[in-house]
Order: sequence, then C-alpha cells, then structure tokens
Amino acid sequence: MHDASSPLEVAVGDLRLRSPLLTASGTFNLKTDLTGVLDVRGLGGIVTKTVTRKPRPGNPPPRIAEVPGGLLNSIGLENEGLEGFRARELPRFAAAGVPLIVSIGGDDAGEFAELAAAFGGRPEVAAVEINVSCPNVDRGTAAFAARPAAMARVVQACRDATRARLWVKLSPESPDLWAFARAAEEAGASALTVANSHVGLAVDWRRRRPVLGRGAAGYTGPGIKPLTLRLVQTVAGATRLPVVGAGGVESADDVMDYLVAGASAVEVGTAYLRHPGVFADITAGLERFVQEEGIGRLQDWVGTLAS
Amino acid sequence: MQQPDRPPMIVEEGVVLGSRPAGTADCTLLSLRSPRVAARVRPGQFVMARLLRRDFPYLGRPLSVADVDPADPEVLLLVFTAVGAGTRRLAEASPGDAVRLVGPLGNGFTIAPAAEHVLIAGGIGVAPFPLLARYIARLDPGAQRVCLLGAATRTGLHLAARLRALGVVVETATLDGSEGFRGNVVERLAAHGLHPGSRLYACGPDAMLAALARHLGPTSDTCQAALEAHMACGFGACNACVITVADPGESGGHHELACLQGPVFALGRVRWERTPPVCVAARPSGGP
Ligand SMILES: Cc1cc2nc3c(=O)[nH]c(=O)nc-3n(C[C@H](O)[C@H](O)[C@H](O)COP(=O)(O)OP(=O)(O)OC[C@H]3O[C@@H](n4cnc5c(N)ncnc54)[C@H](O)[C@@H]3O)c2cc1C
Ligand SMILES: Cc1cc2nc3c(=O)[nH]c(=O)nc-3n(C[C@H](O)[C@H](O)[C@H](O)COP(=O)(O)O)c2cc1C
Ligand code: FES
Repeated sequence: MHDASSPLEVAVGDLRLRSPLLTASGTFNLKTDLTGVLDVRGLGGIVTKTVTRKPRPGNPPPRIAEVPGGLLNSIGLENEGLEGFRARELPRFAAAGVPLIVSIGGDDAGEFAELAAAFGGRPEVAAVEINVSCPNVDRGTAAFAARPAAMARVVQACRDATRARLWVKLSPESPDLWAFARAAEEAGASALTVANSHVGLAVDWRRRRPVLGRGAAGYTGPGIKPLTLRLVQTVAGATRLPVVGAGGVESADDVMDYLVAGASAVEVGTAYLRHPGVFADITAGLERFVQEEGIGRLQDWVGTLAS
Repeated sequence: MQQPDRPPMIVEEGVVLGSRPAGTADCTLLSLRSPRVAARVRPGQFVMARLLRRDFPYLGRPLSVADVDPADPEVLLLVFTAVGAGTRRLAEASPGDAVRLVGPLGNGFTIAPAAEHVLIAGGIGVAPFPLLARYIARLDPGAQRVCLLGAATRTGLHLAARLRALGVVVETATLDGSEGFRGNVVERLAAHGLHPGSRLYACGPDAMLAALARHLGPTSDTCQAALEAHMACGFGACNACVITVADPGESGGHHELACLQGPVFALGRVRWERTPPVCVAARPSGGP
C-alpha cells in the first residue's frame, strides 16, 4: 500500500517500517479472517503474544475487568510454548508479509536466552521483544523490573545467544526507568518498548474481594496514555536507543504525540480489542495529516518536543 | 487454525430503529439496521455491541443475534436484560443512535435433520432461539420444534410469543410456579422425555447448563450449548474468554476460546469445575 518513499514510513534503528503502527503483544493474532477490517500489509509490524519455553495455561477466568479509561487484564501469559508456537503460529505470522517481532518471556535468564536463540536466527523474525515486564505472573515485574541489574542479565544472556535485533519491553512500574533504559542499552538492546501494562486494582467492595482473581492486574487503554507518554519522553532522553511507545494509542493524534515525545513507532493493543477497525482509522488520520496539513514525513517529527 | 469456512467478521455502525421494553422486567428488544451483519449471521452467533455516543463502557458487550427480520433482512434484533453498566447503556439507545457492531462472531449452532429439535432456554438464554428456530424450519422442514423455556418467575420468560409465531411449541417452567410447570427447565426436560431422534440445543446460565449436563449424562455430548464468558474483543485476539473443555480420553482438559471455537460447545466437553461461572466477579461497583 505504501511505497518506500511513503511519508508514513519510519525506522526503529535499522529496521524500516512502512507505518509507525505495530500491534501490541498479547492483543493480536491471525486466527480470524480480517479481510475488509484490517489491511495487515499496511501495518508497520506485528508483535506476537509472549512465548515461553513451555506452554502456559494462564490465569483462571474472569481475566478482564473494565475500568474508566480502559481495562484491567490478568491473562497470565497463556501461550502454546516454544514448540507449539513454532509449529502452528509462526508460519501464519510469517505469511503476513510484514516485519514480525516475536515477544519472549521466561522465569530466568537461561529461558530467555534459549527463546532468543530459537527465534533470533530465523529469517522471518525481524526482532525479538524481551518481555521482562509482565504484571500478571508470579515472576514478572517482581523479578526483572525491580532492579536494573536483574533485567540487564536477561538482556545480556539474550545478546550472547543471538545477533538479532532485541527490543526490551520495560515496565512502567520500575523506579527510575531511565536507569533501566541505560542498563538495557549497555547489555546490548537494539530498542526499548515503553511500556508494558501499568498495574491497577479493581475491587468489589460489597464482597470485599478483588474483581480479578489475582488481585492486581495490568491496566491498559487510553487512561494510561499520559503516564506512558511521560515515560517515553524520559527514556528517549536517557539513551541513544530508539523507543517504541505502547500505551493507550487510539488515534492519529496519539501517534503524533508519541513520535514528538521521542518514540520512533507505536504499538496499539487495547484500542484494537475494542475496535478492530482502529488501525485503518488511525492510518487514514495520519494520511490526512500528511495531505491536508502538509506535515511531511512522520520520521522527521520523532523526538522534536520542545524542552 | 483460522476458522474454516467462516466469512470474515464485519465492523458496522448499526442504526437503531426501535428499542422497546420486552414487556418483562429489565428486558429490551433492540432492532438495528445493520445490512452486512444481518446478511451473514447464522444462529448462535453473536456481535460485540457498543453505543457509540457513550464513552463508557469502553468495550462492546457480547450479545446473541436473536433474529433477522424476514420482512426486512437488513434488520437484526438483539434481546437483552440490563444487568450492569454496559447493558443499561444499550437499553438507553433510541431510534437513530449508532451502535457499533463487530460480528458475526463465533461458531453458531449446527443444524441437522432430526425427528424433534428441543431448544432448552434459561432466562435470557432464549435470546438466540428465534433465529435458530427459523433456520431449523428452513433446513429441516416438518420436523417438530419444541422450546422448553425456564425462568425464576413469569416475568423472566422472554420471547415466548415470538417463538410460538414461528411455529415452535413453547413449554414454560417457573421456579415459583407463576406460569407453566413448577420447577426448573431441566426438570421440565425430564418431564418432556427424550427419544433417540431428539436434537438438543441449550443456552442459559452456567448453573443451568451444568445441571443439564448432569441430567443428560453421556448423551450430553450430543447437546449443543451456547456458553457465556467474559470477553474483551470477541474475535480471538485477547485470550480473555477461555472455557475448559476435554475430549474423550483427555484428563484435565484444555482451553478453548468462547468467542472463536464457541460460544457453542458440545455440552459434554465442558469441564465446569475448571470453568468458573461467569457471574462470580462480574459486578465491579465502580464506573461512571
Ligand atoms: C456469546 C454471548 C452471547 C450473549 N448473548 C446475550 C443476549 O443475547 N442477551 C443478554 O441479555 N445477554 C447476553 N450475554 C450476556 C451479556 O454479554 C452480559 O449480560 C453483559 O456483557 C453484561 O454487561 P454489563 O456491563 O451490563 O454487566 P456488568 O456485570 O457490569 O459487566 C461487567 C463485565 O463483565 C462482563 N459480563 C458480565 N456478565 C456477563 C455474562 N453473563 N456473560 C459474559 N460477560 C459478562 C461484561 O461484558 C463486562 O465486561 C451473552 C454473553 C455471551 C458471551
Ligand atoms: C489482553 C492483553 C494481553 C497482553 N498480553 C501481553 C503479553 O503477552 N506480553 C506483553 O509484553 N504485553 C502484553 N500486554 C500489554 C500490551 O502489549 C501493551 O503493552 C499494553 O496493553 C499497553 O498498550 P495499550 O494501552 O495500547 O493496550 C497485554 C495487554 C492486554 C490488554
Ligand atoms: S474475547 Fe478476546 S479472545 Fe475471546
């Protein structure tokens, strides 16, 4: 749809994307025929659900609860595991014809490294996104998002295992996120995804119980946009690495906000669950900016926020 | 595992033609002009529906397509009870309002010739049955169609007149005996009796479906049940809506998505002990 000179084209480091819009991990797959709703080939790329070494059943339902500004989710990284994903899902994603970013997760650096090696070497995989920030598993945020050194060991192990592009997905819950960004950079990251779900809680006060079984859950959607936008600004200012924004993007204006704040591209999650036509709507909005407002190439807006 | 032979889903802004209380407590009949969804929908499929002029709730709500107007095949009917913020907002829709529909979603019922088609409904679980009854009449003309319709009390019996107008024999059951048989719909089924040529379709609360499964025993494999699950997307993207099912010889079972591999499952496959009832945590107190 867009040729090489398309004004919508952006780059995340040396990876060129025909659009700044990527799918966010855990919110997209190709099990449904999307003809007429979403032109997959117009996407900048697809980020897969986080894959772990062994299949994981995830958390018991209910797994989502609505809150003002979006939703809370507690999926718990349900996935088919490395073998199942490689056999059944990867071929379908590879056939989509857009850059494929495989998200990986694990309990320790060794598991991450094994997954990075398994996917990093494959020609159909443009990058590996290291999910060191899932809030919905016992060893998610707590394990790797509390101290930069713990996270850096994971990134280093992945770097030792593959020469592939490594995107490190940071947690908005980490204190001093800039320190995590620098530690990831030193450990060999190629880009930083900012950020994973925030952490929230919904309670049913009459029953004195959390609405979702695990209690705290991932908060995503438009309500987190200002929070994550600020983190993007912080991280972009702290490292030379390209940043991929993720948090509450719903419109072409949101995309431009993220680019100006320092993101090279954005991932869209919750807005797609709500409205599968959102990618088409945002793309049309960006094209209107280009045609009617003469904003030129999106790429030229990245990181131009006046300080 | 892209679902075989399933036409692509559609995103369509349906226009509300009419919204009226269905006579009984908190139940709304919403008719919408939605030509593309109406043309494709099959019995047992559902839509994610959201009133566009409201920012909250954020997500659409899964609702069965209850019927397509034979006089105007661009018009579909949703029938729902207002139980929380989402359904209350939808009940406020007035003519001319836009409702975003994503659908048709899910697998739907499979119809095959049978001596007798028995539709077993608990409360608002009757919603998908008018369209189902229409299709059965078309695909298996002459076969007997019976709907066993149960509720706590008579005001919870919905769509009986519509089903009767479609030539369905409707037998009601209420727990308080205010109309029809006194007892629940599973007991009503026991009174009705089954023969080998009966084909069963069920929809209702989890507790009813679980009781039905116990009552049917091994024959529950042949009963098609439409299940509910909490959904965010409705089209297989988020993994919210898992149901635990087991195939013969499989211990423990595995997850399938209610929105993609369901909502209709062979009743005997469902592992109720591992599929917590949808209502347990379904009432967050907050929200504008
Ligand atoms: C495939 C399918 C078809 C359905 N068809 C109909 C229908 O035709 N008519 C009808 O009245 N109801 C139907 N339901 C149930 C209906 O979706 C819920 O009553 C509705 O989502 C409640 O939303 P709420 O905001 O009013 O309630 P709240 O309790 O405030 O909802 C809070 C959250 O829980 C979810 N939730 C609550 N109860 C249910 C439930 N029983 N099933 C699924 N999610 C629930 C909501 O979607 C929302 O995300 C169907 C459910 C499914 C899964
Ligand atoms: C249902 C759901 C599942 C998710 N699963 C994952 C996951 O497996 N791995 C991951 O890194 N992020 C996961 N996320 C987080 C998203 O990728 C994204 O970072 C977050 O939702 C913020 O973006 P949004 O506001 O556009 O949704 C999930 C989010 C949702 C809503
Ligand atoms: S509701 Fe999202 S996968 Fe079923």
